[in-house]
Amino acid sequence: MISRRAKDKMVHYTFFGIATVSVLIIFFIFIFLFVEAYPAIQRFGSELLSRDWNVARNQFGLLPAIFGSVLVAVGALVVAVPLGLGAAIYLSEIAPNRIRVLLKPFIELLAGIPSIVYGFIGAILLGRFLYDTFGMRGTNSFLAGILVLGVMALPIIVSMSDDSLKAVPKDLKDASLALGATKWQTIRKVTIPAAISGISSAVIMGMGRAIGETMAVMLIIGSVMRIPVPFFDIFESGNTLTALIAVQMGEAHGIIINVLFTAGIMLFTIVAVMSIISDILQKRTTDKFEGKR
Amino acid sequence: MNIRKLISLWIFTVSTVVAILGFWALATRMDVEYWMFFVALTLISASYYLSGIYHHMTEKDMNGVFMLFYASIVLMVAAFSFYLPEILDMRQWEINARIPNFFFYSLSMLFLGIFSSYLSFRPFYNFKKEGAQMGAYYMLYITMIFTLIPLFVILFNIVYRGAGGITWEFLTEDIISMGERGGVYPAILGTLALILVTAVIVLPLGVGTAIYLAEYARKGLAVRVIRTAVNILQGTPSIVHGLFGYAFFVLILFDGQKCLLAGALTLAILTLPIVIRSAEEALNAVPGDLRDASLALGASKWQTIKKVVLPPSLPGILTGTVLGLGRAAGETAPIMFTAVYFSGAGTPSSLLRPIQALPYHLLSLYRLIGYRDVDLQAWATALLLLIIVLGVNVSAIIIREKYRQRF
Amino acid sequence: MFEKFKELLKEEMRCERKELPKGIKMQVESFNLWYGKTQAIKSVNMDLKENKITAIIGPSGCGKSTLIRGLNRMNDTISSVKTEGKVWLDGFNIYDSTTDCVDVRRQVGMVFQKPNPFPFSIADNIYYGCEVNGMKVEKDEVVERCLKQSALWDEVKDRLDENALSLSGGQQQRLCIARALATEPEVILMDEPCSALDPIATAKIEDLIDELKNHYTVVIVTHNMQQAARVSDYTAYMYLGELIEFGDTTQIFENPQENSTEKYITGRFG
Ligand SMILES: Nc1ncnc2c1ncn2[C@@H]1O[C@H](COP(=O)(O)OP(=O)(O)O)[C@@H](O)[C@H]1O
Ligand SMILES: [Mg+2]
Repeated sequence: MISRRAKDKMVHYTFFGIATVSVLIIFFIFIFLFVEAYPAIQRFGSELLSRDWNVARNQFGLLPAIFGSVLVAVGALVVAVPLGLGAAIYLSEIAPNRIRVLLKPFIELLAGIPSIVYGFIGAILLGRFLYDTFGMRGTNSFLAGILVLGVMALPIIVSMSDDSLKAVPKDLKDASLALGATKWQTIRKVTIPAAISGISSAVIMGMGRAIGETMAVMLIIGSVMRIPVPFFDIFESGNTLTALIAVQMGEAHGIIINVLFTAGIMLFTIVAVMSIISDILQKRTTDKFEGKR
Repeated sequence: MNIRKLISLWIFTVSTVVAILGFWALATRMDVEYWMFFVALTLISASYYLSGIYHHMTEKDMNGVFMLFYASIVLMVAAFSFYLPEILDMRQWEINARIPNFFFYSLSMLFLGIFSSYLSFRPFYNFKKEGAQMGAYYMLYITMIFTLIPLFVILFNIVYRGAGGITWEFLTEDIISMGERGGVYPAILGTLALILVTAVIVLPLGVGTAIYLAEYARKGLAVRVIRTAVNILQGTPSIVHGLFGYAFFVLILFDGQKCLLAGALTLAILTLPIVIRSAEEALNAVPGDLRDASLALGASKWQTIKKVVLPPSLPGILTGTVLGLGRAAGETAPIMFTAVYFSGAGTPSSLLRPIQALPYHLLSLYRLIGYRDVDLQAWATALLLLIIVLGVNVSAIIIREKYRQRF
Repeated sequence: MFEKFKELLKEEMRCERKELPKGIKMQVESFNLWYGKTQAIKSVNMDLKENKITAIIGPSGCGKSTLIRGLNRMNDTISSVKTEGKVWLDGFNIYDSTTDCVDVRRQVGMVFQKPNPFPFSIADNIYYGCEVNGMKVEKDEVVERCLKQSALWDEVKDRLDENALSLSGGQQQRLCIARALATEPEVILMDEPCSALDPIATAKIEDLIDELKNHYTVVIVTHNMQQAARVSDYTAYMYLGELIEFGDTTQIFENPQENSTEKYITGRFG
């Protein structure tokens, strides 16, 4: 019979072990990606960052895909930030309680739709619509990707900004109102500035989602490894890192697999840096109101 | 009646109607003629002239001039649009688009309409700060509406186009002739099996980590490392999980054989951070004095956790887990290299055999559209997938609401 | 619905007026307030004299904060609140349907229990009220005037651009008072302004309040009876939402008319 204390210790170590496994997984993913990517990095080096992609000639420049990922993500933010911020301010500051309770599930619903469904609808309805409206050469385009990813980034931006706006202490708002400010002046000059780091972290997370999104983009971006000329020509088709991996992985063999893992490392790094930044920003908000006051 | 308010209300009505017409024209690609566009904008402009002149007659400040100025701008937009070509060929600037003039007409009707109705709050409240507030509120309503429009468009289209395809045959048969006939029975079972196995893997790992974080860990480096790792894991793109799953589980563990277990392991990694976060939140919601009370009665730490902390936080943990599984059920990227085939895998029979799954089924059908007659099947699959994923989400919410603990 | 619409379109009317007796700045007339269904203020009548300090005392939960927040319509920010009755300020009823509550709050400033400076610079904190009210004033002048009036100038004049949260608790509270002075109010409401402060900071604020009465009408809520006795000219005693007794501070403390007042003051309950 083990003593209760010994048992307590054992339980403690068990949980510590489980937690360690969870953490190890993350390092494991990174190490593994690196091991698989290494042959390509060793063989091509900085050529991987060039703009020429030609499998037949063994040219594996990932720049078009990197460019595509950034273009689509930035474009998605242009769509999602004004709408999402507006909706978040509406929900947290203005909407009466019963309307907020009614609308919140809809935002969650938007987040719950699988990305393959977004891609399917985007490709069939939106792609067609844009093709008809703008007389482009094909139904695939950066524009379609931007619009779909914009919608997909919306729920993250809305719910995270909503949370950080709600975290602004009521006595700050009261102070502003008591000085004769209207509710809108209070929102604009006190609530939003106070919540700004939380809002930025929401925007960064939205961008992370847009960069990491795969299935939706893959079906509407066109999978053409080319930087459009001029570079802001969003009516052209292109590629992103995620779509490149998803499309090529199916039939890939040999060195190209290692190239795709390099693309994976790039994605992983970009998104990891973004979530760390977003985390720091969020922590700063809570510190501002909980630590100091 | 107050004439100033009446005029403002008139401006608001006209502008809103113009905005709605513009939106409608945009959505249906209606061929708006120049004269319609001109009439709409001139109407707005004239209303603003009226309001500006009235304001100038009654009050002696510059706001009347401001409104006359805005009215002139609208009028100028209307006039100069006359010179738009029938189709603006952007290819002369190497941009891949040929934009018809009615697109510009409906777009400017939409935006000018919204902006004009936004501005009409100023004269309504006689340029006091209340007007700025109401105008801002109005814009916020508009953003809220535009946030919800895509949702309704998506839901409407899926239900409208997919409902006809959900038949008994569709639900109970395997694929026949590349999805033209038959159904998705093995794919449904495959998706269910996938999330079940995922749950079995992720629950102990996730809840255990959360218990360590919430109950044992002291604030320090270890906790910071774990938290950061969890956050990074949560943001990691699903395709990266797919890559990892393929390289590690499929190639190394299972000898290059796609299988149910490999897919479930990959999905478990994907859902792990969601489970950890929600479980930790649920555990932290249990007040500290409950723990103290139990410890003061001589219970050991583990007894306290088992008897006092876990029971009330169970619904929260379950909600988070089910939400995570809902996300997993809809994912395609992590399973397409690790577990699934379009056809031939049959109903799931072993952990080490490949399966069929709904998300991948939808992808495959999409790729066949245009070659085979699979449109209806594809929409029906999308609808079914949506129903399953949302069903899982709703059951999570029901758990949350039903067993909500209050302290 | 249609009624509301017609209301909206109506000509702005002149609001009801009433001449207050000389020397009275504000008058509360049969004021009732409900949070949802529970009544927190029960038909209170009270006169606030110009350039005097009125203290409101009473056990906690008796409605002191609710009453003082009723004097500048801060309760309007809580959606469950319903009010009845009138509060006159210089002959205007601040609860009249034509009165703009935002305007009322500019004229009736407020200082809260917990110091709540904005996370901006010290100077911006003070200028905020002028900015939102569109007052055409020199920023430097306002900042200097208000900080001097609140006896904070010498301590912060070299760090006006620093974040207000870097000040100590007492300084923060004096900054909040300075901030309230910037909109040139006529009445200043203070809800337990010293309850979060140490004795030295409290003494400074009390001196400041005494100073303020030369220019403003001051209402202060306190649960500290010595403080009420020290600083106020008039004292109101509240219990369970009712105004039990109101009068000269010396009279209330030395010769209370009501039994319950006496019990509270002599510390036999509360
Ligand atoms: N926001 C609110 N919602 C509902 N009830 C409230 C609210 N604020 C205060 N109350 C209730 O009103 C009564 C008076 O509160 P308050 O004015 O804060 O008392 P005091 O300041 O004298 O301590 C109390 O019974 C309190 O519970
Ligand atoms: Mg109080």
